Amino acid sequence: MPDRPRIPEPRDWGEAFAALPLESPGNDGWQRLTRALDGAANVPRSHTAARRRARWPLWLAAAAAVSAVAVIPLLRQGEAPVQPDATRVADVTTQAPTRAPSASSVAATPAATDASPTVTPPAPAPTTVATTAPAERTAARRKPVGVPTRKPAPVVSPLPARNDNGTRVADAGSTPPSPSAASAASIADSAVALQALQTESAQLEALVALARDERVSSASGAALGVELDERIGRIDAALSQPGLPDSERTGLWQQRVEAMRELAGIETTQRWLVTRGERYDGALVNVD
Amino acid sequence: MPLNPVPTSAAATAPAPPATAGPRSSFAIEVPDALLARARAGDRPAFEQIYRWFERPVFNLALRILGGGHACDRDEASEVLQETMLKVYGKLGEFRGNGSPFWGWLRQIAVNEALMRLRSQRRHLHDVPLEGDDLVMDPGPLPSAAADAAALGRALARLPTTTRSVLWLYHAEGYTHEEIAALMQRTPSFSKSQLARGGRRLRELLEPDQSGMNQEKAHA
Repeated sequence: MPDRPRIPEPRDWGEAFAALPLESPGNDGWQRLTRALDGAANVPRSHTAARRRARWPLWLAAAAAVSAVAVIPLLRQGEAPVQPDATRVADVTTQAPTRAPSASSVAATPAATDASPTVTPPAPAPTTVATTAPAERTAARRKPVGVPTRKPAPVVSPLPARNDNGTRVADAGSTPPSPSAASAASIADSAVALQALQTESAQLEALVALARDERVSSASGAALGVELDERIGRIDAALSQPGLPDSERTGLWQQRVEAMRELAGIETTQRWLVTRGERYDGALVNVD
Repeated sequence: MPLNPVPTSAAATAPAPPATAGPRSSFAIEVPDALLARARAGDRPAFEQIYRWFERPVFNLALRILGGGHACDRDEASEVLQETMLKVYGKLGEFRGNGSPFWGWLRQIAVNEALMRLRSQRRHLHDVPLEGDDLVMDPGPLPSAAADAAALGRALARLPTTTRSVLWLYHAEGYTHEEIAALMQRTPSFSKSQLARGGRRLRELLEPDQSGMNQEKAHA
């Protein structure tokens, strides 16, 4: 048909896509960008910026929700008869470190900082402090005394293998693994650890997808979910940087898993509260 | 005003893209070092030149990833363009190149921005990722309707978000499955699966009758 834009018969999808005409954005794009670059405080930069400012008060609700999510299980545990049960203690100890470090560590990661817009009003900084502080306090409160916060380092003798008898066989038997073998082993270990993190992340993501109900959510829960989504997005952006060192990649995946755990905790808690007809927020909000 | 206005096509006035074996990305525009240096030094007209060259590739990439089937997608794509360019401006001093072209660096920022927006809108959660789906690529020549730009655009817009993103990043931008997996925090097999399913689905959408006939032939 002459009135319909047809492209030469493409041989594959790549050619077909490449031949699609490029659509033009609006004409005011550069003007908007210039205004944003100039940083005029009284000029609305974009819808995104406006939404960020509008979300400001929700951060306070989000901080309250973090506290509520952390405190409610403790309150419920307090209602139950006290049982010095090892598994219960273990639950608390394993959950406690996952909240506080994730929020602060993501904010401190240079890659995460890269993902945020560079030329933006410096509004989010105080909010980050405001939200992480209660979480850290909660974590500190929940952390039992005497529980080590770090795993003890593996005991490796710093002394070289002794060479007392001078025999070659004895040397071979007593010397530690060669550096190349040790590094290969550590690389394999880190690959296994990375794989485990990726698997857990995928499982948590599936759990969030199942638990999430976008039709109705509490205001604070929705705000917190959005912020966690954005945090995960920043981590993803950092992860996608080329040439990332393995250690940094593993650290970012760890942060992602921790953020996903928080998100899964919030979503499942919300569903759980809904099924019990309870809520701990001031208002419900309809999403779309 | 731009130094060198781009009235019709970004590629029309921008330097010609290099000849590569892979798909020809609309981003593949070589930016002169002198222009980059000026933009890095804060020369606004130089940055405007860069903006004019890349505004359409960024906008189109965002439009394809975000959907393009609704009017609101254009607004979203405009915001991706805005945020991308703000980041590019703010991080120009960090770009060192080291053998990688500037357009690849800029494209990476744009892809990240579009995917972040998808994530913030939780659109991808509505997709049903099926790991281990059969990886049979759609065989044979493309349907003739693939040459109809409007039909192809509509069919693309009807694909699930994740599937369309994978298709676009692989076929139009030349990303590998490993790179797509890293961008989407998935596995390479997920990317391959989405690509295979997306190709088949696109074919069905473009030639529904033909795909039905093929199925009948297969059953016969």
